[in-house]
Amino acid sequence: MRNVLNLIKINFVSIFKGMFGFNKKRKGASFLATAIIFLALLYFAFGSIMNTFGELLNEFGRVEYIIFIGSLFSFVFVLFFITYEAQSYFFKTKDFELLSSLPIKNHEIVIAKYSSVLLSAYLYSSIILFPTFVVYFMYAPFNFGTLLLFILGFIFAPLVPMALGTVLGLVISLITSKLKHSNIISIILFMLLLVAYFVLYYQMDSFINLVVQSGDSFLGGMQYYLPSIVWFYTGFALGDILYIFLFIILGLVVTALSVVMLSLLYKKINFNLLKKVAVKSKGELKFNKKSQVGSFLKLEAKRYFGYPAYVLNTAFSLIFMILFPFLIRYGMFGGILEAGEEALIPIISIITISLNVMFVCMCVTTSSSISIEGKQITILKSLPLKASKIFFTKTLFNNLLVLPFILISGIINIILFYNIFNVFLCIMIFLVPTIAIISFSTFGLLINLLLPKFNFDNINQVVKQSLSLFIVLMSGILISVIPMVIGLMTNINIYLYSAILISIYLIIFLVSFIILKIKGDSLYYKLKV
Amino acid sequence: MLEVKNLTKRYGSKLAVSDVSLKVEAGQITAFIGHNGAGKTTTLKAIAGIIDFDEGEIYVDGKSVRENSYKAKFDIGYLPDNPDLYETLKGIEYLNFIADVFYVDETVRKERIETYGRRLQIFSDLNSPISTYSHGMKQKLAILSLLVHKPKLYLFDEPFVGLDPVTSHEFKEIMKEVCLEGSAILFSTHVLEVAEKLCTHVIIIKNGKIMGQGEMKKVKGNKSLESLFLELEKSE
Repeated sequence: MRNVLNLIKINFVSIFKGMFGFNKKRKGASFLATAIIFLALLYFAFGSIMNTFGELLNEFGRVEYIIFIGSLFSFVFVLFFITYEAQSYFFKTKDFELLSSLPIKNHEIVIAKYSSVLLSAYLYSSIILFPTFVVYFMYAPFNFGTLLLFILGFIFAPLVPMALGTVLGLVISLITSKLKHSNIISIILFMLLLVAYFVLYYQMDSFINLVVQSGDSFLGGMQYYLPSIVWFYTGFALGDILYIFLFIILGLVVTALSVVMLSLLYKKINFNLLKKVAVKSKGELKFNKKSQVGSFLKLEAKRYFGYPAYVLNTAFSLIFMILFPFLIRYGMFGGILEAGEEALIPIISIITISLNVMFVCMCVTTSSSISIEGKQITILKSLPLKASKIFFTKTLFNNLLVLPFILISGIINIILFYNIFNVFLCIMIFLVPTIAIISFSTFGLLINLLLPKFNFDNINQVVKQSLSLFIVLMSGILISVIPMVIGLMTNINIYLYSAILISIYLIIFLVSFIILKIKGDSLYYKLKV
Repeated sequence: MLEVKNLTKRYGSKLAVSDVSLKVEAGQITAFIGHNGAGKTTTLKAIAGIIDFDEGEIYVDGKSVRENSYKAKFDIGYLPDNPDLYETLKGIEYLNFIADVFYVDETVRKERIETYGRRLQIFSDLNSPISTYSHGMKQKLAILSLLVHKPKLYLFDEPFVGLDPVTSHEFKEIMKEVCLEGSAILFSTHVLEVAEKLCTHVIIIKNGKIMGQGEMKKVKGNKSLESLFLELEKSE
């Protein structure tokens, strides 16, 4: 027990000091403030989504089903993120060999690491469940007993998806580690999971109608496939003590089984994963010469695609950019457009351009590309590579990554809304996001230069938990969403709206560029591990 | 080749290197020895242009590292004490990257990689990802990456750590060869026997200050380098 507590303490200290920095109170306070604002935005966003379901369910007088919907979303959300995150906590970690050499039992190590992952699971679960509970009480009378039940439910809600996600992550790790292009396969697998999650969301309206019409008989059938979700609803929403008990027992049993399984396999799997079989390529060595920029660009690309977490964290928004036109066309405004509602044209235009801009600004690889150099920054700084060239190449890579998606999304939008978008809008669909990514890739680089993070144990601490990433991500969301909301409320002219957006991004670009021009060199040379 | 004048570097209130002046001429192999935390790595990093410094000047082949670090770096090859290389690359990709940065022609880089790669016994592993390399293999690759562009000044920080005896011997031979070709080497080491046999000159640093420097024979006299070092460590 003593070892478990010590390891948990070390893990949490490592996580929080990694986030907040060592002895940097101001940086820690900034990080905390940014994280809180970011979380608040997420809660608000999911709250809005749950509210649309809540309104619909309230019309049918079945608002309690929102708990079922929230529980389902939370289950899938936690399952998805824990699947790809858990691997980096349990497998191929830097502390594996150190811990293995100490007189600490496997299950003690696993329980300590499990607690770190559980922290993430609670965070993801809260993003869905807290807004769900709020929406429930917006339409149902407030009851303190019900609130206490929800809190109790929340405590045990992430256990099952977390256990499943950890096991699924392990299986994916084992399979992909034996394959030649394991990183690419991991990336594709998780992208497919993301698309599946998106499709599930897209089908929610039909699903809700089915739930409302079939009612309890539907849930009765569902409990054979998703028992934890049905039991959560039946226990904590309807107050059935038996199902509360069953839900808690299920969570604890699944967790215990998962911990036992991981404990038995922990060392064996890590040893297998650590077996670095040198893959000797057939064929001759290539000695092709490139320019400094070309060579560095190749290095950036290899590094980016070499870390699935880096890819997934930045590229998921690009996938959304491809899929959202379909959601807008057939989901949000399906049927209405066929009726020829001309008043919707400016609304669709504003939403389309704003969302595309938001999505590209969520794929700013430069916000962590300085940090991700890690200890290699020493080598980089010893080379005759001008700082300006390094900055240029990093922003160029970001832009080259995003531009094809802008092109594809633009073409899809034009095809889907060919009867709505005039020539000007068709140009804006491409131009505004392009200017946005050029602007934000520069801005992201500046922020990362000001707030680098080189000491990390695993890549997630940089691509998911760094202050520079939070600032850039939040800025990207706010700068696209706030004008969109104002534009929709004021019924702004689309030409003026496009001009305003372009101006905002050009200003951001110019300011970032000028600061980099004046201060970039000195900021770069001050970087140290 | 290398001239350091009154170099001073502080980390907060701590004086890491204080008023250090040293010279390394072309053709010299100079050992840079001192206790842990004496300031060896700080000095080497300042010369390599990796860290800035508070006072003093550093010239590499006449070029100021402070004023013109970009041009000076073309003449410098720096080997860190722990070669944290780009693990997502293969060995050959890393070498090509370094060669591209230093504008080394294809024919020249091919010849150097083949020649030195075989001598360091890393050539057959160059098509493998660096993530599969052991520490010693990474060290060999890092050394090879310097030999690809053949700088005028080599800066090695603990270069023999992790090298097997055969490679270690071959590396010493290569060091002598490059110095005969006109380059200069400054390397830090704790292995005093190697320094004594290999080096023409020695610099001893203690608590950020130079305690002695010059030709190996003159500095150590009749004593062994180890005895001299221990004496200096005990003195105030």
